[in-house]
Amino acid sequence: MNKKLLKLITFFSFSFAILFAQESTPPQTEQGTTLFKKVDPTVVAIQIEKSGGSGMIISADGYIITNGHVISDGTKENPLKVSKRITVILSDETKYQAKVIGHSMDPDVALIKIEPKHPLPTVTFFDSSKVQTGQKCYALGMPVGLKRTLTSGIVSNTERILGTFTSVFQTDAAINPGNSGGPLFNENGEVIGINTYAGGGQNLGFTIPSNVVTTLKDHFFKFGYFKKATVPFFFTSNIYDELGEALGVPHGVIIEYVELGSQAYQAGMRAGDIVLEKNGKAVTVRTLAQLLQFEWEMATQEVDSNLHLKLLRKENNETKEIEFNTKMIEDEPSPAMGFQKGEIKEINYYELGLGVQQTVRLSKYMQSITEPLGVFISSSTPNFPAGRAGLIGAPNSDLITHINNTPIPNMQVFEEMMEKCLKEKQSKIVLKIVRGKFTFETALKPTYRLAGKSVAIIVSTSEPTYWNEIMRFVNSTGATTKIFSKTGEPFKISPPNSREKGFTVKAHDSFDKLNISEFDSLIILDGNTTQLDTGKDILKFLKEAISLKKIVAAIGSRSILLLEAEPSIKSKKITTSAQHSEIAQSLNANYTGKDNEMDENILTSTGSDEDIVKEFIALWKNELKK
Amino acid sequence: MKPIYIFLLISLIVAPVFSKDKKKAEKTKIVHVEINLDFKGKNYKLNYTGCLVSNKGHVIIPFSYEKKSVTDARLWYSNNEHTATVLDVNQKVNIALLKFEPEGDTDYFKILSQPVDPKNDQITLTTTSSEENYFNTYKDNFKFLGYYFGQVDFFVISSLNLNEFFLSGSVATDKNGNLVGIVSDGRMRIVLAMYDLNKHINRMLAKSNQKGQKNNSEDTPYLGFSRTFVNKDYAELKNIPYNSVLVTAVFKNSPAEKGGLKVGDYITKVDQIALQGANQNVERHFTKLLNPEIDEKIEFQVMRDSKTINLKLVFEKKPKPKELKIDELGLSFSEIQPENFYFDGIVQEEGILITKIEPGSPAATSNEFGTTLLMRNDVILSINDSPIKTIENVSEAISAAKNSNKQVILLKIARDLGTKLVAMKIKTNGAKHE
Repeated sequence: MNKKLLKLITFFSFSFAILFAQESTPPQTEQGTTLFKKVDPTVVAIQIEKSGGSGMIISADGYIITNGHVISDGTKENPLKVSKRITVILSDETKYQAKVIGHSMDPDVALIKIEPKHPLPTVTFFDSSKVQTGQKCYALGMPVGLKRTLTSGIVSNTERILGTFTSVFQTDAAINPGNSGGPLFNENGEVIGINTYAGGGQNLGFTIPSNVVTTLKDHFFKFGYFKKATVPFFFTSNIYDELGEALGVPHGVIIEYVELGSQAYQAGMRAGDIVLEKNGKAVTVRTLAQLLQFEWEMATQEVDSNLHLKLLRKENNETKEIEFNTKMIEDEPSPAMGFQKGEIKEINYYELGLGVQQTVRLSKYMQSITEPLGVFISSSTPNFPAGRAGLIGAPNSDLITHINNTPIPNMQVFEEMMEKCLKEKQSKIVLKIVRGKFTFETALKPTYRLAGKSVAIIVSTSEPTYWNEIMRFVNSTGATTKIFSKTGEPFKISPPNSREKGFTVKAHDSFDKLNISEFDSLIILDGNTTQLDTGKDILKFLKEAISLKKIVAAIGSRSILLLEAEPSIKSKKITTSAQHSEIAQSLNANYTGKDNEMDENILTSTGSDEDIVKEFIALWKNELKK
Repeated sequence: MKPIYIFLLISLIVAPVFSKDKKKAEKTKIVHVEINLDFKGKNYKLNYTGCLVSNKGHVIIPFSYEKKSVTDARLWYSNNEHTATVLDVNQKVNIALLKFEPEGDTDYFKILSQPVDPKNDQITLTTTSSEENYFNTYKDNFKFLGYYFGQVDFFVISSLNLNEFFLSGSVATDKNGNLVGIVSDGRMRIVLAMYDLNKHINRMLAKSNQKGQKNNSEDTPYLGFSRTFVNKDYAELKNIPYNSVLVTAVFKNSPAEKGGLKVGDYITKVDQIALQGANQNVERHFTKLLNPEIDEKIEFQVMRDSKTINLKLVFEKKPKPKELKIDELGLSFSEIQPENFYFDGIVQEEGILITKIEPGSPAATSNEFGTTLLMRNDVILSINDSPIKTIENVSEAISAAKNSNKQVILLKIARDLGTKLVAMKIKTNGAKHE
């Protein structure tokens, strides 16, 4: 791990300048013309809901490389979320929907896949370690929404450091927003990198070297994400000229910090050691770019593979060499730093005014916390239980180490414990808090505004979406929930991204055991499969619930079922997902097209993103509270 | 009837009650104050009514800006303009003590040891105006509505017409002419009660009378501990008195440590007064009872392991850290303070801290991230292998480095949880002659 990179990045402010369209001179040379003809069909335009970028085809069957940020739709709660609809436009203007195979925000690379009708022409990668400053290069892409633009220039620097995981190429070929994800070619039309950022000045474009891209591509194919390797927990720095002079060592990597008792410590690393050799290869690092390369090689070593280090240690004026082996293990997700959003997940308990964050070793290091347990509080809202308990959110976050004396090693345990406490409607939940150098206890007193109300959760599709968000909210209101599936069968919840695992939920009962009069409200979840016939089984009790004036809340495609169950619903204002809006209109429904709609006891939602669903559940809560 | 009509109607009825005394001011206890203020780079002119509290020209006004932000203060007394000096500001209480040089003794409001209770009395408010440098007064009778005991005590008086007519600092008196409070904000019906102000004004006057001890005003009294409030819900669950504050840190060699205060103590009484309120309010009450003053004694009752203990503490001058600036390196150093240790994530309790890095200096050499080699709050562990424990160690080690032949200086520093070696060029004494 590279302390310099990770730590200093925080202070590095790099502005993603929104550059206005520059007039780019089309290449007049024959070389440019030939090159354009050759590579044009390998470059694609990529469109997501609001913006777009470029991409390059790497296989005849439709694998495409672009930037991570082009297809990302990351939120604070789920930074690894990708866009729901990704459209790829080929050079012949044919359009395809793409799915994400894997993506990473740093390095900024993604692999997506379309199902083309014909085999596609592909790009060829050039070994980027052979790229030299001053060589000619061409960028092809869709800058600022313009169609297919070729620009040319030279590689201005091969080791530019921007505060990202790797150093990048800098070029004066015009690169603008929209070029993102497109290729930078050498004179032979081979890809030397993937264009990614436009700098704050003119003629400053940045390109991720092709070798980084191909390594990531392999990770995406194999794991679906960038599976970084590490030996926890140590930081390094490069031996620059002055430091080399002072230490009497010409080059190498110096170890700045080794966590006491960590794997690195047990393996034998100590702060102050100088790395002379790694896996039999001499380490001759002097510059920061070379250090980044050293770190990159380490991070991309296979997980479980062996790391052999030869270290130089000075002790009591004696110098000795130490060698050891240790195993690389998978690295934790990276926390947000500088302009990087990071990969850390956050969850919120709105009824408690409490947000917590997935907590990794590095986040704790950055706050000088040695406590191994706990999750950080990301937000605490005044006048809510969290605020009243005196909890403090980011940036000087409190760390919750125990709930009711049970140790909390990670987010998963935290979620499970909170769910248990809330479901049991515990009047006071005792939290143990580490704040800087002080540990104390406090108590959360949830208000359970919906205590005494009962809710039926109806799962009529496979893999219901927004399960966690909805259930967390509903549980924290104190309402009693009962989950129904068609035959009472368990159902799968798919993971929000390829790094996380899905899980299975047991239903309490089958649809035919559902007794509407037992419940104050029904929440009908939407799912990945949105065929309407999957919901026909619920029409009967939907009709009953509507006639008994129960609060019926339906998400996405499920709104249509309300119309089918009870024709009188047509007079009520409703909304549904974009795909089902036509059906709603064809049924002469009072379809308003809003994100969420509430008309007396009928609540409907487009369910198209997390924020909309959150607002929907909040509306539902307020309605049920009345 | 719409509220606006009610308001107009009442103002018609109330307006004639005001008697606008246009006479040029006679010898009085009230002055008009004008303060020019530099606040965040902008200039403001503020008008107050001031209240004389000594025969030597001491005046109080409600004021919560920093003393140094005042660029000019003047006042009108007996219709003459005077230059005034801001002697002291208590931002927390929202009062300032001003002084001007009157010709001869002035009349003034006596600040009694026991404040006058406005409760059973009709209140007269007197305000001033700066119009054409006239000293005008408006008077009206108000009713006492109720007390609020908070961080600062105040009371609320009835009137619908305060908005336009009353400056901040307007003086509230009872029917015998005794001072019962000063208006904290002219637009509101809030009067700072003398319950709170008496002791603060007396203290400010005493301080200003201590001649030749000017430096003392810069000394901060301190006890040297930090605390947090006790969450009521938790306290009830664990049988802890919730109207208490929890001690979270006791600084090394501090008056709190000397007085026997320990981390984990629940402070329940201050000078025999029990803390009141819940959650954040207890902490407010606690702060209010503290009254920090150097050499002043204070008694805490604490609960420790279910036992009640009384502790006697004495406020001391807050120690000032030794500081050092090395111009050649562009670095400023300071001794680590308890605050650094507890609140800035510094790992060591003692040692030497980098407090400033001059831009453009060798220490500010930045790498490609645009970050400097050294950073604020780095702790110096050694310089050229000689350990650093005191400020003197730093100056010695740097002189030694300058006298050596080496062109680079090697610093070992602690940052976050780790250590770091930093080397930078230094001009040696030998190099100077070359």
